[in-house]
Amino acid sequence: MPSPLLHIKSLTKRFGGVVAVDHMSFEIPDGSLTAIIGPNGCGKSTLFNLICGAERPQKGQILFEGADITTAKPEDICKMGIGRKFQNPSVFDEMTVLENLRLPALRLQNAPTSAEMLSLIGLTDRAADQAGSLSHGEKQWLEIAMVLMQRPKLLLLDEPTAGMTVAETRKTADIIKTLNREDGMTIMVIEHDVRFIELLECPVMVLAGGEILKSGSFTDISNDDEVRELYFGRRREVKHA
Amino acid sequence: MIEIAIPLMDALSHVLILILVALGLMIIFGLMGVINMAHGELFMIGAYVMVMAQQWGIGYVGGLILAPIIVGFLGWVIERGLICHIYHRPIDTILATWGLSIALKQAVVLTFGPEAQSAPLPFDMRVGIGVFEYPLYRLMVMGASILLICMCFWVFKKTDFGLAARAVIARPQTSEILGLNTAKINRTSFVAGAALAGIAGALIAPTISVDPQMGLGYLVPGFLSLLVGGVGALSGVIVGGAAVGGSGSLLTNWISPVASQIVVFLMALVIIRMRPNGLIGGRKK
Repeated sequence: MPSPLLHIKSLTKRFGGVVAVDHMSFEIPDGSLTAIIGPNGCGKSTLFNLICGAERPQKGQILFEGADITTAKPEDICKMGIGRKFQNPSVFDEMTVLENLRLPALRLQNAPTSAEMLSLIGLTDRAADQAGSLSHGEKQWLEIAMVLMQRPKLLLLDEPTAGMTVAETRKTADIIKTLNREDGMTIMVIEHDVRFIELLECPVMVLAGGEILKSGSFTDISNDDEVRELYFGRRREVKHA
Repeated sequence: MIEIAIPLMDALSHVLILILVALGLMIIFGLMGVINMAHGELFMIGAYVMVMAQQWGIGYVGGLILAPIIVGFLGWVIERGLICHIYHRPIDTILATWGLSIALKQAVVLTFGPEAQSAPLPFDMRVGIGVFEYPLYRLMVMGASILLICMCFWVFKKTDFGLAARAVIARPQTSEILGLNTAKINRTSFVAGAALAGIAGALIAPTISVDPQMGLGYLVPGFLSLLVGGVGALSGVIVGGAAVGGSGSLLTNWISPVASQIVVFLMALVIIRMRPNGLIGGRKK
């Protein structure tokens, strides 16, 4: 069993009376690929916000490579090796594609070259175009490339295929699997598209009401009655403190 | 021809200084969302540094070098001591910087007195431009202003700092998560904005009377320039500065200064009403 890269201990986050993350605990092994699914409002994006420092928890602890990052600043967490892609593409529309890629590399000595990344996401010909002129799917890839420019140890992808075509979704799954299996990058992916999760062939964590409802392989999860009811049937009530 | 050319040159000179002041305001407002009501006083202190430099025998060039350094340092003290504690609280920053502007004005009154001071012109020559003559110093101020404006554009468009600063303006949270040190970028920008106000004050000092109230005369048109041009776009500052400063300066040739200010305010109101994001359409904060 590889040592955990990320250790979440009894993490709790409330927004007013709503409990978004409720005493959540889990470990993410180094070099693993983990998918996180769950209905809207179950705490998936809040969990990522807490890990990357965009939100502060009320309780609990986040350990990354054994270091406590619970109250660390987002920029310090990024420098430690956690890269995060947002749910909505957070590229800089007013800048060119190339400038977007240069940004995360500003503080790094050994960042991948922009040409490598442009080639990976298939935007070599559009390097000088404004990012705002890209399609939604292209923006998603650009943001993934921006995070990869940081050479993160832990990559957090929040709905990376939202708005992508079937072909683009398959390509994204291939890129993620390559990064995990060939480069050994630890990756956590939040996704709603069950077909995409199946393509990733990785362990799945199901969240509901700010807690981990189930964990297991895609087959185990997709055959679980409780998960099927949650995902395709009635939703759990939002928790109130 | 002369009747038109000289007022046009005067208006251009005024516009360029106003753009320098507004650029400083835009950098601070665009980056940090801080409405710096003390920016006019930073401009005024730059002018006082020029006056003092000449009185201390450091000379004009010494004053021009000292002004951005002293006012930039003052900007650093203000950012560390005041502004960094109230980021993301716009109303508080308005109140705090307004209070600071009063304190700075009173400090200058206590130190130098309420009466106007003057800095001698470094050279009092006129040069022929076609059919008319124009003061060489004013031409030099225009040239220096253009150079500083171009430098600002170069820094913002071509350097790593400029790239990071534009990112922080557009998406502060994403920039932090990409590992950019937003606090350092904010601090550097505040110092740069203050230094710009300082050098603008020093440049203009030999052509106007320097007094503790002079900052307000540039602060209000500076903010109007931002709003008319469009907050968030550097080019908006130039368009706004030209519209507000140019029209104000030209109108004073035909109507009283008070009437010209009323016309400029009305024009600005109409533009902001018709185009809430400004003429260039930068990001509205």
